[in-house]
Amino acid sequence: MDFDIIFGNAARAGLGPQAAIFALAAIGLNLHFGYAGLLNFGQVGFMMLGAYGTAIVVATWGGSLWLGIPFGLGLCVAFALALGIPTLRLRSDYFAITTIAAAEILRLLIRSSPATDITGGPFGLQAIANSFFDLNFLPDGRFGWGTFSYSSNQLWVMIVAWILVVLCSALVLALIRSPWGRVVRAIREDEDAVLSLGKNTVAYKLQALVIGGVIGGLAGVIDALQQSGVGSENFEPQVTFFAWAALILGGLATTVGPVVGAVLFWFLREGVESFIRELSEQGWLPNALADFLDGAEGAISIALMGIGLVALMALRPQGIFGRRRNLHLGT
Amino acid sequence: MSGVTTIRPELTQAALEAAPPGRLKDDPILITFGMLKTFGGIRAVDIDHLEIERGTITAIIGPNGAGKTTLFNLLTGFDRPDRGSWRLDGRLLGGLPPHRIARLGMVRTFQLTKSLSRLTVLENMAVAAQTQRGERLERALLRWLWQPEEARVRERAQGLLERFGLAHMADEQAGTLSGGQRKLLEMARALMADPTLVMLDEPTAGVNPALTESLLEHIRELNAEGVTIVFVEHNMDVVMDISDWVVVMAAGRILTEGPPQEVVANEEVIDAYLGRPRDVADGEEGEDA
Amino acid sequence: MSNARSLRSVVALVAVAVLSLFLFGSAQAQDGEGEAFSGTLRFGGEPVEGVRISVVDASGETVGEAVSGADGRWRIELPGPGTYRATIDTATLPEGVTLRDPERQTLEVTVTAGRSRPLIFALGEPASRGPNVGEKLAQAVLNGVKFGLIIAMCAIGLSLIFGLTGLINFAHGELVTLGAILAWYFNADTFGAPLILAGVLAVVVAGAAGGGVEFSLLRPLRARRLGMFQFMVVTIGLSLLARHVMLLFFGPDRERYIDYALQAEWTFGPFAVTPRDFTIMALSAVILIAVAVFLQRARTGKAIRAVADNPELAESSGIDVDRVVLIVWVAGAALAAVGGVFFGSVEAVDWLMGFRLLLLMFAAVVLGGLGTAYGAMVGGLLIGLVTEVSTVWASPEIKAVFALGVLVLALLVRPQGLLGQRERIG
Ligand SMILES: Nc1ncnc2c1ncn2[C@@H]1O[C@H](COP(=O)(O)OP(=O)(O)O)[C@@H](O)[C@H]1O
Ligand SMILES: [Mg+2]
Repeated sequence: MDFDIIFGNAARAGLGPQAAIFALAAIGLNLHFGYAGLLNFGQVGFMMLGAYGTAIVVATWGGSLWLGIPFGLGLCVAFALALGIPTLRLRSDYFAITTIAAAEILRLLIRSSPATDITGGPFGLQAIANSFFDLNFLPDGRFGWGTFSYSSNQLWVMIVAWILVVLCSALVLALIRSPWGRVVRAIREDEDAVLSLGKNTVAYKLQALVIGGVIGGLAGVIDALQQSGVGSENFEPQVTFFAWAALILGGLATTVGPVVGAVLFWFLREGVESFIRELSEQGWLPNALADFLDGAEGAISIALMGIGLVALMALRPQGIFGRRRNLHLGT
Repeated sequence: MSGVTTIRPELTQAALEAAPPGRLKDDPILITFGMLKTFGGIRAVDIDHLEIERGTITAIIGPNGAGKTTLFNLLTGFDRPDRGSWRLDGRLLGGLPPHRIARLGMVRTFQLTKSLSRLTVLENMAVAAQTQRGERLERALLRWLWQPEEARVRERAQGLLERFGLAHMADEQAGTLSGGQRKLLEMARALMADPTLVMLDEPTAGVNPALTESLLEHIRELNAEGVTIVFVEHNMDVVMDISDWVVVMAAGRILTEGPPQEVVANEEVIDAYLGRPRDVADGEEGEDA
Repeated sequence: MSNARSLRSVVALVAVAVLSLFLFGSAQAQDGEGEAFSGTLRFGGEPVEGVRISVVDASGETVGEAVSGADGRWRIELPGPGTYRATIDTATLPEGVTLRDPERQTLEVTVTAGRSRPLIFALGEPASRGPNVGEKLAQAVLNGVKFGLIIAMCAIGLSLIFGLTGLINFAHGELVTLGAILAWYFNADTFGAPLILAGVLAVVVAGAAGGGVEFSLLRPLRARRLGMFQFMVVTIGLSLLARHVMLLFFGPDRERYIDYALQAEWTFGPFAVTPRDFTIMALSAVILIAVAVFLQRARTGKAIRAVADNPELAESSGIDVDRVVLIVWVAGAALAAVGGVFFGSVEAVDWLMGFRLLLLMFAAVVLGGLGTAYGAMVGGLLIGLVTEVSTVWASPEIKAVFALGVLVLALLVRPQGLLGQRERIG
């Protein structure tokens, strides 16, 4: 069993572009739920629109990437408004259900054959990020040690993505510490009370939904850039659940929570997969079991994640770094 | 006065005195006409006419299920009546959302206290400020635009907290307050919004006698400062003690209204609400959960 | 998320499926050659020659092409295991020959190491000889009722559990899948039991599973006053766990039950229905009516409605709320499993079927009014009808979009759902 390989893989995933993408998605969710109390289970819809909006402008319409990105983020704004206006007046559980349904239905629409001319349907769109990688000033080659290493382009994506993570964290922090943020947090606690104090709560919730959604859209843009393409299978509802898992792991309503959580999430996920791969290659296990494990690490690690979420809620419902005190206040 | 004559000029003072519920007031701040709200078959609120006199303390009493909370919900825009209209300071409020009504000066509290648990006590107060323009998203990041106002808001909030004996808790999370302290905070917060009319739904429910006393003191003080107060109360001693006017509701209707002394003497009220010992024993108090 | 990752996990999953089949003693002989796609093109029994088929890999790069031979056969060697998309070039089809289902011009298929996969491009009648709009509509309505009844049955538990405990059960779809997959194991895999017996067994096991989750996990957590959000996360965890365990054992492929797979249709005027589907519709209707009668008449049913209406009040009037919740979990899970068996029988069984259905169930319960059994029934039927009828004019791939459209419209007009009650304020 080679723990260097396992640890190297885990660390690579924990700091890699995927972790940064999930950190962005989780920062958006944190604004939605951690601060504004909006149970958004459709974050992947925002990611998908950010990614597809960008890719469509570049690959389908032959436009510039630098027009594509704002277009993708604009779609996120539109989605937030279309989703929020009919549902934000409603009870939070109605909102949760509507968001998950809307994101998945949007995905079905994007991958359907009538949309193929624009979205590439089941094929997705490719070769969209050339102008992004043209800006890469890093030398070619690999950076790092052993399995913990990145290609030049990966590192370039990472640099940009982690800078965005820092900027978005700072933006959310500044917003939350402003009087605007105070109203938003108050709405999370009790919307009727805030209404009775003369605040237009629906407008605040809508604003929070838009901002968090655009941050989620940014996650999608990075995803499209790092793969230089988009495909609908990357935006299944599961992705939202993983972003939630990362957020819960790191702790709700904290500034570093979503970031730490995303790093931890990918570290653990890749660590477990890598561990199972190594395990099945060792030859200590009975053949039938080793065969069963071989190639099953993806499904097993997700199943374990499911167990982990249940256990976390049962044992530390406030998340690993969350404050227990906050959990039982009021309500 | 002016409100009445413009709306129902045909009514004379004499005609109205012949029909006690819905009596006209000299200077009503709030006037309600033909308010009806049904839930399924139940007429939760069915009020022909109700006026609240400016600058007074009005108590609304009535058994559980009488429709007091529903009336509050309707007046403050939290629920829509099936029909009816009402005016605050002559301005029609029908169809306005709750936050608009609050901004016009009618601020309510809730029967079940709604403290903003994970905000500090001071933040609870600051949220209610009507003057902080940094609450607009486009200004939120421009700190210098709202910083000076923030200082003023905090100062005012501190002042109110001191008055309500909560200043030592200012930086605690509101969720850590006792039930009675939360009631105080909710009231202080309502005042922070600078209301002209405060609607308190059972402000003393579940509050210990000492705190109740200070709460009532605050209500009086406020009133002395010119704020009109409507409150729902079950304790008749409290009602007799501080109210200028009492409205008795039962089954959605206004049974009668008048000065406290007059109302407690009213046979109907005793039957319907205060309850004779015999009625209570028979379980006919009209409880309607 | 990355292509490499999804590719790797797909490969992994397929490998698991193959290996698990191996473990369960039903693996098929391997080809012994490299990975490949192959197939035979036929039209009306005759081989079709000279049709071009091309394959691209996940990144869109073309990896192989072939033209069908005189015997209609074609074969494309692949560079390795993975997910590929094979497309038939319809321009190369002979005059008058079309794809039976134009949607299936491109097939997305995963190939495991060392396996050759047969692909079927079904050629059939030109579309112009298809049914007219009226006939299509009649058929769509029939399908809508069929799926609507199934959705309604699956969604009752979801809605009632919400009504009783305020819990949105994200794992409800997995109960549907569990029922379908268990029935498949009993029927088609190991035991070879008749489908009816297999279905009954599956429903019993799924009901017990639902009860077990409530009794051993959720009830203790409720006693600890976990919030609504924490409960949602618990059910998300359960859903991820259950779904991927089923994937590990069942594999990523679609399977069918042995019984009632192929049947001639009965026709009634414009409606054509197989005896199987007719039976399923009749059974679903009977079950839904039985549930309604139970809720309306039986003591337990009344207790369920009382708790759903107002848990505190019901508790204080002496109803054992925990017992009622347990009953609803068992019954709700069993109903979901019945829905799963029906759905698996009408379409096919696969590890994601319940999760896909969950979205429609969500739409149904929100449309009907969260927390009410009758709302779930009405909502389910409506969602089934709307999605199916939309296929008369729109591509079936986007039928779920119409479900969402109806949902949003309904919420704009009636925010509490069709049969729901408004919340109290103050
Ligand atoms: N949202 C609602 N849905 C159904 N019935 C309601 C609702 N709100 C209040 N009611 C009914 O309206 C009547 C008046 O209730 P309420 O205004 O709360 O009375 P009070 O505050 O005087 O105790 C009661 O019969 C109550 O059951
Ligand atoms: Mg009340």
